Amino acid sequence: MHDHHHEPPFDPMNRDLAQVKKQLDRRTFLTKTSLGLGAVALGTLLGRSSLFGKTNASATPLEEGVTNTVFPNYLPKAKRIVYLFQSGGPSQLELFDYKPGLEKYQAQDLPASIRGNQRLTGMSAEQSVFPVASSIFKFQQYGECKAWVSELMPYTAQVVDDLCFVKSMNTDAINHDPATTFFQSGNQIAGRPSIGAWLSYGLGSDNENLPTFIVLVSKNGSGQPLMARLWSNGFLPSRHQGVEFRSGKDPVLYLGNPEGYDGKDRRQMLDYLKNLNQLQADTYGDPEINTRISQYEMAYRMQTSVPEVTDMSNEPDWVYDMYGADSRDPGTFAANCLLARRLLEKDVKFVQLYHQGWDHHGGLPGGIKEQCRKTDQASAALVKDLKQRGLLEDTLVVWGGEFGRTVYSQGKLSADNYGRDHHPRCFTMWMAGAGVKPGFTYGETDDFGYNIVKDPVHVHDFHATLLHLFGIDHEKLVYRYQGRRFRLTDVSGHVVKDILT
Amino acid sequence: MVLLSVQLFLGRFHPLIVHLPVGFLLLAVILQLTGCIPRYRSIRSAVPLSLLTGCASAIMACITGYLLSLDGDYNPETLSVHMWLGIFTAIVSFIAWLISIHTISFKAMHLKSLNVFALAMLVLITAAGHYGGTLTHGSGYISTDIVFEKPKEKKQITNAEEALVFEDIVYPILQNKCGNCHNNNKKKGRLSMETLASLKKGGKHGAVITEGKPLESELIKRVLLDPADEKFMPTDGKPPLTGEETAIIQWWIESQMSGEDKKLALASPPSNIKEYILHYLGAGTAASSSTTENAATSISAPPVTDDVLAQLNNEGFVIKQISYDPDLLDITLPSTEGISNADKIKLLEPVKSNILWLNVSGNKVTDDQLAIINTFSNLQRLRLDKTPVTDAGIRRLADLSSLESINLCYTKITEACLADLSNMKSLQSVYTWGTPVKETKPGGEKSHLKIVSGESSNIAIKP
Repeated sequence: MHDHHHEPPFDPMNRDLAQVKKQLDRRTFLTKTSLGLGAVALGTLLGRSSLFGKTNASATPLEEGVTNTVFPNYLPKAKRIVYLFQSGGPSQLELFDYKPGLEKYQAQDLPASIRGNQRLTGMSAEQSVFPVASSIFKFQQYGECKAWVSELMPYTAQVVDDLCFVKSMNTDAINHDPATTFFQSGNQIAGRPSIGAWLSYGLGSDNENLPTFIVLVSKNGSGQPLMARLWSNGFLPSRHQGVEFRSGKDPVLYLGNPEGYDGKDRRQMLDYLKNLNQLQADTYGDPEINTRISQYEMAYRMQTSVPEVTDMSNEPDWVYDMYGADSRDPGTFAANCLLARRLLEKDVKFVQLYHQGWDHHGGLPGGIKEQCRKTDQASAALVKDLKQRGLLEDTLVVWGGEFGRTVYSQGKLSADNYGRDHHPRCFTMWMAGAGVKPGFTYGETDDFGYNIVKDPVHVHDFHATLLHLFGIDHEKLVYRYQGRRFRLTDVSGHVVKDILT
Repeated sequence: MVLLSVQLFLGRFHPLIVHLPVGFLLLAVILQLTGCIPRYRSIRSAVPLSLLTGCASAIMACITGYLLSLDGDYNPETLSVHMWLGIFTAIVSFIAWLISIHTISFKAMHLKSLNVFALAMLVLITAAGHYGGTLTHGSGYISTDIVFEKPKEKKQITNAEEALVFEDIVYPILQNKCGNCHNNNKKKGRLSMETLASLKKGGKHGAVITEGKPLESELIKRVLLDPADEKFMPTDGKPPLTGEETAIIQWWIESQMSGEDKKLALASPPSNIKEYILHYLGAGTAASSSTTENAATSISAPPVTDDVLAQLNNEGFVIKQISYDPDLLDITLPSTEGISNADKIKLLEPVKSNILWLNVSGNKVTDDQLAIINTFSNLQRLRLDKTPVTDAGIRRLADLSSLESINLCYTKITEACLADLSNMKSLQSVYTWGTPVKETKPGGEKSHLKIVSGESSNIAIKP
């Protein structure tokens, strides 16, 4: 008899199950033959030089039968990315887009020729006047590149020679939810995969012990809500979705063993469970079962990898000083920046930070000061820290919100107080690191900071450029779903070559 | 209700009805010829009925076909051949039917003569069908070119600057998206785009292009309409022109149309149009745009087999393939606390020319192992941070002529190694945080070599 009862492989002994299996065999035959031909046809569509060309088993992050294209398409510059998303829409006019001529027009109605046919939100469309509000904050040039930065961002000002400012960003959406969804997934309506999910799908993981796509949200955030669908996998298999770490002392719960259990037979238990799940996967072929299997395995490995990466005790005091006092308080933006650096050091491909509270319709001077206090030092410290560790050369850092803010004041304009409404037509973002020009400014807005006059960069172009830095041709990263092929850039997008090194 | 065009309404039933005589008459032919075998003689009793229905529907097809032809959008020569072949088919099938019901006979052998008529019908139907197909789909609709590449037919644009604006860029776009309905054989709206002259001539409503004014040109107007609009082109859900294609044609109408067909280099398009053109040409030719962007193609490295990669994987290396032609690799050797994996570096020997990026950070790398790394001829990025390498070890890396960046944070190097590093001609970045080496420009101000030491290196840190 079997002295080791694990030995015999699982097999459906149940008659019903065997019957189902048999039926499926005929069906599977038909599906596989027809899909096989389809795949061959698709392969030629996608322009592979040879039908049965060389395949690379070692690096096939893509699901079977989806596409024959392998990624990267060309030599990448970036290995990982940290995206510091500033939710709410930071005002470009208070931070980076310096408009010295505005004072002349202070409190005057914004000329109709400037306003053009730009639609306005319901919050300011009914205003009888659109008084131009110049920024009350002082600007100064910094660094060798002579970039203008306002007094609100003293730390960012110190690293401008490592940053690439894009002052001509523009988007289609005018309200938070569609604009944020657009930035994160390339479409204003929810349901498409987020950038991180696409990268995970296209390039796979560099560290099997941690999720490829990790999300950190600043704690106690108020203002525009953030939803888990912003880091969703959309129609991609769900193991590509972002894994949110809790903002607090314990980023991932239940990693420790419960009381009274030593965890010694967990490996055995998981193997059994895997066999059971595999049985279901073989029978029904549902990819979500494979996701379940891989997530159990990931959770098992995270029992050791996560405590290691979230244990901050080996960070010296000067690191906390560099990121600011907030960085000692887990879950703050500063602490998340520090955690992001530790995750990037472990080769996590995509670390997505979110920080809420930039939606300053009224009381802008006070509000923006507070948000800058919370984010400026840590953002700059992250760039500096990555640079000294030699990681900035293959890590892309992105800073930006979902849109900009209007040059006219929403509501009453007084000497020291005003507000600004949403403005999708132009706003500023910065990038740093892997493959983007350091100490560089791209794009220009008009004297009112209301329209782009040179080198517009649309959200689709931003996505195309981002994928390009990872060696991906944005037109080739496709997934077939509901009868059509989908891309992060939908049917648009141009790589902004001028900002590439 | 206003009576518009009954004839056209009925005429449009031609493509539907025309398949009936084809089917019925072919069936009659099959029955008749199969009946030559004595065993199957009895099935010939069905021949008269087949011929009658075939003949009747052929006459219907002739009438509707004639009504359709009055619309006038078809190539007259092909049309007349098709028409007469159709009429002959109807006549021959009528005679055949009369023979089959013994109404008339050719001498005493009317059954054999019916075989001859059957074969004649076969030829007529095939020929009439062929010309009918040419009228609707254009000549060359069915061609082996679809299956096999015809090397000479398609002009390969290898140098975009040399491409002729109309002939090599605009014309292929028009042919691809409009040529199916607007050709010399099938002139929908009496417009043919077969040649520049016929395009300029325009169609039923006059010229479709206003030189120099793209937005006033009917062609551009129709293309830019809402796709739901009845007048939108291409119609009937055929693939529309892309934004890039429309922009190229607009630019051509605006600035290039009046003069002679220039080479792209001389036409000097604005940068966005040029980008569209390069993109368009890239997609159409084998030399795609991605090859020009791909820095990997200039590197030569032998192919790597999957077995070798699997083996290295099993040894604990994390391997990412970052190029497939040639095979180039990004390899990380993870460090495990307390155990050095540095001994494994020698296992990389079989892929030594394929390694572009190598990360052995945190392992106890010895000087001898650096000598192995020195043979990785294509290496561009090397991470040695948190390893015990010394100045003597750096000297061992002198052959890495492609090395662009080296990470030496928290190693035992001193300023002495800067001389060796500045001799490496491709080297651009050296990271020396956590070592006594400070931020300098060892090769002088003009040198590309940059030392990044960080700001906090003076503070004692546990790495």
